[in-house]
Amino acid sequence: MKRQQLVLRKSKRFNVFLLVTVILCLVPQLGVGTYILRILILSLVFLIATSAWCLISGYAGQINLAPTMFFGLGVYSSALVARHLGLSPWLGLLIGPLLAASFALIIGFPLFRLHGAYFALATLAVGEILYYVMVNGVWFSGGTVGLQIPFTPKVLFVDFNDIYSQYYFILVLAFLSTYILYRIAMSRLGYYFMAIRDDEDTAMSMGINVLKYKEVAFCLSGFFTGLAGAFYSNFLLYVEPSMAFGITPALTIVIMGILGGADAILGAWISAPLLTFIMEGLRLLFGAAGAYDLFTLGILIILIILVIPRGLIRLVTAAKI
Amino acid sequence: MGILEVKSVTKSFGGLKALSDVTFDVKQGELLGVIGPNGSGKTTLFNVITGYYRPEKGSIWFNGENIVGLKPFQIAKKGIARTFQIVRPLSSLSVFDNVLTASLLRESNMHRARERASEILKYVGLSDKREARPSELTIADRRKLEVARALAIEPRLLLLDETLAGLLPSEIDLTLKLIKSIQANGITIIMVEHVMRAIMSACEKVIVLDHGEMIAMGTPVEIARDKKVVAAYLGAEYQLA
Repeated sequence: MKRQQLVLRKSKRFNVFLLVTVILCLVPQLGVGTYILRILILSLVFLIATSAWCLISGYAGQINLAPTMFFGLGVYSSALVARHLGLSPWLGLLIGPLLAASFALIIGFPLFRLHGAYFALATLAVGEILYYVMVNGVWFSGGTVGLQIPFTPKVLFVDFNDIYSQYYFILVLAFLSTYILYRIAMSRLGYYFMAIRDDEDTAMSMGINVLKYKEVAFCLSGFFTGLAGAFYSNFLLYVEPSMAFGITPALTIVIMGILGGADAILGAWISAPLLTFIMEGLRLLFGAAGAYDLFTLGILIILIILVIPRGLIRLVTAAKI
Repeated sequence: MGILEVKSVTKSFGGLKALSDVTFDVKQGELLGVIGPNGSGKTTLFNVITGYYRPEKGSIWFNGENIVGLKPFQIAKKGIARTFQIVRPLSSLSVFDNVLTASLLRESNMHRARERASEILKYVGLSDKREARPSELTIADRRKLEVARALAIEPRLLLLDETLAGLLPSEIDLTLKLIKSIQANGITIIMVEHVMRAIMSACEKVIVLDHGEMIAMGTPVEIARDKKVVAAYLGAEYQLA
């Protein structure tokens, strides 16, 4: 009986995912303006990064406070490929994820010597280091001024003069990425990640190579976060350090993760659009200068942890529909 | 030749010798009891065998292979499973998922691993609590879960660390039955235990540790008569009883 309820709850989650996808597919047909579509595109970028964050932090329990270390590498790889190699910035969609995953593998070795809060603090430090590398490496990164990305009107079948084309492209990317991450979380890998999160000694007694599976989770998380970053800069057509490695995108991803439910990959399909619209609305109301959006972000963290520590997705799936 | 041979193993913490020059062996299919006062090195012995601690001296042979220096997960893969004295379930997972996760070591097919986990839960008598959280279980059931999780990795040698401690007499009888049935299935068992009644009735051979030293080895009856063991652990009353 209880087993059936559990399966039902999980399939409900999947239904939420499908429902939101269908709604997002239909949105452009409703005649909404370019402005709304741009916001939705941004929310889908962060949705991918958030799902990837949930894998390492929600499932494997290794709290990464700077998912921007991967996001930023994706962001910059598009620009650097175009500026220094003269190739299409869209190659960033391939190079960004691979670069971020390789970085995860390498940086994982020193980071995973640390546990709990020490690991979390160290991730923050890695994010900061990369930020200052970009700020100071003016000769290749353009420093705080950043780099422009040359506009490529058409790649394969996607026409970038057309916002609808861009929108559907990122929607497909987000759908595939989260679906893959969701399947991973439901597989043997997902169970191994949760075992490591709950008790490393017990995990080892089950024959689980703890370091190896932490690395696997970190690399997978890095790959998809890098993908999100690579699309982000191709969409905005410029890069600079704070949009890539700054504290705001880092916090945005972490909060979207907790808001949706850190141990529910699909939670991001509720939290990412919701939070993006809330923050965008606040910027409209108060202007970007006062940083009221960040102020709200801070208040939201406290409220979420107090009221719905396990995330919105559980509120939705617990409701009798 | 035994399935497990421990040869002059020494492990110290700072100046304290938790195990000093311990040597014994266990034969295939045997049920070996380990007794001794608190702090005598029983749990340390388990931690050394399963790779959580590395001994300074000595060697440990499992199936003719020296396993000293291997990591705990490698030793688990070789076929040594353990339970923890203070139970350590995966607390956010259900009872079923705890066992399922362990089953995935030998069976990577999710469907078959689920079937395997169900069988094991039925075997230890936890079928009706499969969707419960470990924190909702009674002490006896938590111990059963530890055993179930250990069995799920399909071990050849099972180390039970005080599986009977704190149980009611009726629960002790049930759990002892379970342990004997595991042994009957061909799994070699080493059990650390304070419940002497269980040791006397279940084990073929017993070793006694005191301050990290092995002071006696023999059948339960021999052990109960050993003057050193009576002085260090059992107490004079035991002889009278």
